[in-house]
Amino acid sequence: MKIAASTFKGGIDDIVAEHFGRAESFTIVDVDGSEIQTVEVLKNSAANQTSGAGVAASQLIVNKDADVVLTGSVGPKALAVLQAAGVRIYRASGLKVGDAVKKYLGGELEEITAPTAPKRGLGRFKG
Amino acid sequence: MQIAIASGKGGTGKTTLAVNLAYFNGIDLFDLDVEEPNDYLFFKNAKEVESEVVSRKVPVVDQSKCDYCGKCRDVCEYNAIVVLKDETMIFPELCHSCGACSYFCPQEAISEVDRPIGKIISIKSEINLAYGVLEVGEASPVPLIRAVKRKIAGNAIIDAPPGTSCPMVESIRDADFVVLVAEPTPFSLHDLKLAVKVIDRLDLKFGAVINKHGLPFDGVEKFCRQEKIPVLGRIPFSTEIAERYSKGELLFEYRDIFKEIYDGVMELV
Repeated sequence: MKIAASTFKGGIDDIVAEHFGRAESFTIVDVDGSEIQTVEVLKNSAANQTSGAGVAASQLIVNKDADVVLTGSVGPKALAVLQAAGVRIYRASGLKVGDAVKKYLGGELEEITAPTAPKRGLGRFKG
Repeated sequence: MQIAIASGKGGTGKTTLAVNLAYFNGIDLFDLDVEEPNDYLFFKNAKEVESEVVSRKVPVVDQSKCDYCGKCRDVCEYNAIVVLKDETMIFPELCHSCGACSYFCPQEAISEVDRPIGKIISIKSEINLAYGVLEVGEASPVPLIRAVKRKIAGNAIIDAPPGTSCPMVESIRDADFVVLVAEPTPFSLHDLKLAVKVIDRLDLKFGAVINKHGLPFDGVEKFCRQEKIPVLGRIPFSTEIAERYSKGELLFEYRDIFKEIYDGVMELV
């Protein structure tokens, strides 16, 4: 099973990002049972698109045959694409990717089924 | 003769200048700030004579013909199309109606349908006014701005949207003269410089009007002198004018200013 986490620089020790569509990268973890088999970092080519970043990022995830997305917030268009493709989405922002994967496998993460806005704009409004 | 009123910074006085310039010189007015049209508020006795819906083309996919090749998605510059294993999804609000997807579809599975994006309202008062009202949620005002522009026949004052991006460019590009409204503030000066750059690229004739004249900052006047930008008029900084504006009233006591500005434009064109 493939789990894609929205991340910054990417990697198993990186933090799961709040943003989905405009995340810097996706860290895609292939899991067999509870064992992590491979870790791939995919640069998010949609991050700097002027419009439709969530839609384009969702296409990347679908093309990678991911089954699960770990992120913080997903907008309505990205959610529609991921749901249509049968990808399930879980809230894991702030956790390390490795820990988030473990928590997902342990059934400890909250599933996202409705669109949400990021907690902090694009980093402009902090606090 | 088309005179466009633009500014860069919002709130410098485009609407004040546009409605008074049009009224006191008897010229038709076109409010192209379709995301927030407000010129009509100054013509209270006006009768709405016409309201027409404006649409643009967006794609629909015949799923029975589609083989999910993804060509449409690849040619879409705006990420409006996603192709899954057994479904092609279209997000019409992201679509810019370029038609590339239907043109390049090898299966001819994509056709284009009308999507309403807003309306044009034409009203008759002492002068004629036409303005666009964009549907909430529509990403680009440009197609509606184009549609309102097609109503222009003969002399016109154009009230452009603020900023220096596509909606402003579309609003002023066919004008014979652009009046940039600035106020004596550093923020307005900053955006005035941006607006001048845009106008230079479009190779249009232009001049400036200084609103809220009397505020202590002199950077705008200096810039206009340095760049040899003709200052066509100065509207004084006055709480009375602000009160008038907030009630949607025209500035009868200052009508000479608006006549002089118009004469100044005519001399330069």
